[in-house]
Amino acid sequence: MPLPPPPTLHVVGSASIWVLGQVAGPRRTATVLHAGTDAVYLDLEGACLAVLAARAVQVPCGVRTLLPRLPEVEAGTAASVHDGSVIVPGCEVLVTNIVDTTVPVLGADDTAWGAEQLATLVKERLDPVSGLLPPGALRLLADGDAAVVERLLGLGPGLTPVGDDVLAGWLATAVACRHPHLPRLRSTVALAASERTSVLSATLLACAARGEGVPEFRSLLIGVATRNLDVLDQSLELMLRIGDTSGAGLVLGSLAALTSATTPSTPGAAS
Amino acid sequence: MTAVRDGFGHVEIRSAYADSVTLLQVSRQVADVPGVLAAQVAMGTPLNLEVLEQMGFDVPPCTPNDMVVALRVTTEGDLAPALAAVTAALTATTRRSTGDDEVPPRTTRSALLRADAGLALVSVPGAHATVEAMDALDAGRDVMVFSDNVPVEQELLLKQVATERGLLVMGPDCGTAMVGGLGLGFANVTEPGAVGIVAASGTGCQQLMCLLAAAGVGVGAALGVGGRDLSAAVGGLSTRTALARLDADPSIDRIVVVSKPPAPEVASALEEYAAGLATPVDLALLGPGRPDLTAAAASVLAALGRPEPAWPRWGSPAAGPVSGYLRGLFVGGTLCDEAMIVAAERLGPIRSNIPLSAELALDSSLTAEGHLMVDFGDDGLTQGRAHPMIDPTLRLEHLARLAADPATGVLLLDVVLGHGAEPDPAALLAPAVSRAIAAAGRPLPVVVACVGTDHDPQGLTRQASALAAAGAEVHLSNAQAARRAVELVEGSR
Repeated sequence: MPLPPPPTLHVVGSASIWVLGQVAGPRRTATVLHAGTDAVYLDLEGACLAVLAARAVQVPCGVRTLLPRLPEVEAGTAASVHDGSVIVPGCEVLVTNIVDTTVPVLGADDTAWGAEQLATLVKERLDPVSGLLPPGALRLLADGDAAVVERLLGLGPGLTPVGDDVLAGWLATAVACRHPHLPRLRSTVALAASERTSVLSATLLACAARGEGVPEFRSLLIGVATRNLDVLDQSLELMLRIGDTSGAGLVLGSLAALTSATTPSTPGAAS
Repeated sequence: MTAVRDGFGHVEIRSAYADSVTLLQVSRQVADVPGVLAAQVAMGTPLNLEVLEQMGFDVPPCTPNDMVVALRVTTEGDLAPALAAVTAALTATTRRSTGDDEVPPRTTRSALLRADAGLALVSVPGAHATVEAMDALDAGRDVMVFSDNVPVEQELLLKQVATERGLLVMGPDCGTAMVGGLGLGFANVTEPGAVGIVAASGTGCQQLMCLLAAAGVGVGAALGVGGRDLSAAVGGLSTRTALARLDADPSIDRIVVVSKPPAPEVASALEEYAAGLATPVDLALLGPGRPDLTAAAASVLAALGRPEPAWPRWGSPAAGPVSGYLRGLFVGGTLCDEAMIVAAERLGPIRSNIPLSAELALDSSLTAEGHLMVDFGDDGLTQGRAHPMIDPTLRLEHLARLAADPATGVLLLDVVLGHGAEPDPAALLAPAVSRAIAAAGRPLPVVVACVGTDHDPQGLTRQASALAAAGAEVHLSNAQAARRAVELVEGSR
């Protein structure tokens, strides 16, 4: 594929350490998977890298700019990464700001506190998302049954299906609280994701499996780690504004992980 | 080291960085060292280099990322202690900033996670302000952007995002606010009250607050929105949000919107919006043919059933008329705007770096034949250096130059008091005024608008009296000061 012409727009952006690692080093080519005014998604050797406009959510695989809208780009065109920059047709974005997308470590007591407080705060607000899931899926998730992956992975319309959001919320929280079922679900998701869901969603699931999420999600778990009800409440409100169902799906998965990590059926889960 | 006028000059470039306020403090500390005649430690921006050259320093090539240390000392032997004082002062500021054992937060968002704050105040170089402001909006917080030099398209983006999320962006270049009874940025100390102010103008807000305070009326909240908010490019986005906030505040009975000259279509739309609110709104929008801020304060007082007092003044009335031009040197952009509007009605065109119309723009020398007024707080004159309400160096240099110009008939100045401003502006300005009058060799009236209250840390009466003792005629009302200055030159025509 021919390299794109030199970009005319040069801007800076913020991204996670993982993204910085992806864009560092010699030039590597990528392909535009999807393009919109708020986000351009690239396939970079099997992983998804996003170039984001100012209004887009700072996903852990994205470089967020302060552009009100991104230049028009067609799917299938060539892009590249090189020496700390992402280059899409017409635009080069140099990563200059690092965004912390990693979840904090949760002690057993914090996890139990978080499960109780988050359940109280969300009340019925997650019901619409729960209603989109197959019957029994949340029970399987709580039990750490790998069969839940088959039920949820790729479930739902859009680039990040709601089933994937729930799994991502569970995985990132499970990393934070050392959930006993984490190894089993993590490996099952890793094996199946590339076949059963979009490249973007598979990348976000891989990020979650390393303990990375959107900054609002990190803030939510910091609220748990510091037992700060105000931070938890404010972060929850911000999470519920993300996408149609994405934020709520992530919270639902997180709540399932927090709750099951401290139930009697999983002794020593959060030690 | 080279022999220069009045002593020996030394300039060195250091690969270091410190913010403008820190460097101002360093410069002042070093200037107090025995044997030091002048000290300027500043980042090597074009503006700072120009100032250094005007001060007689020969500066080697450098970039805005380099720190320039320029010293003028009495003898060569005074240089080593002066340089040691520079190093000591810089080291001390570094130590102060890391004295706490707690690891400081690395980002705006993580700082907000530590504190129960409803608002983030961003004060970083303008090129980096939008990132921090967006971080605060992402954390669900209102944001006050004190920084200037933020591109207007980034301001628009921030305000659009904030509006979509029900949040308020105050600024950029928002110098003054009072939120929850707490003054932010440059803020005067006034009694609490039931008047709320929405200000697309920092010093305009301060003038109004101080006039109301002098009339015994307190202010409950002042929400700055940045001087460009009522421009056609931004369209008053934050002004509307701020109005809605104050309208919903049961402690506010009356709202005043203060602005530099707005875009006409934005002003019309704002008038319509304000008419739909439950709380009465007075629009104090500066512009030719519109009431000045003192008249706006009088309208508010009338609406509250209060009489308009005789606005305070200090010093003997300046003797006039005098021949020559009116020259205004301002630290407050809105005060400069207001003075130009007042003066232009009687004197005709006024040249300025913030002109009322484009053809009246001054070049970078800030000098011209004819009447002129300079706003030293304008973005173009604050790159790499502190605001003139903190660092008066540029204005004092210009004051001496204009006083020596025989074409200058009257000097018009402003002084803005309050938290955040110079701790004692008269300490430097009053002697400069005395010197200017003495050195002029002709009658040179100096008229000053001194905006403040007696509760301010600097004390209005103390500052105004010091300036009056130096020979100035001092007014609390900027519009009255401008009219007096106009009378003095007009009488000779």
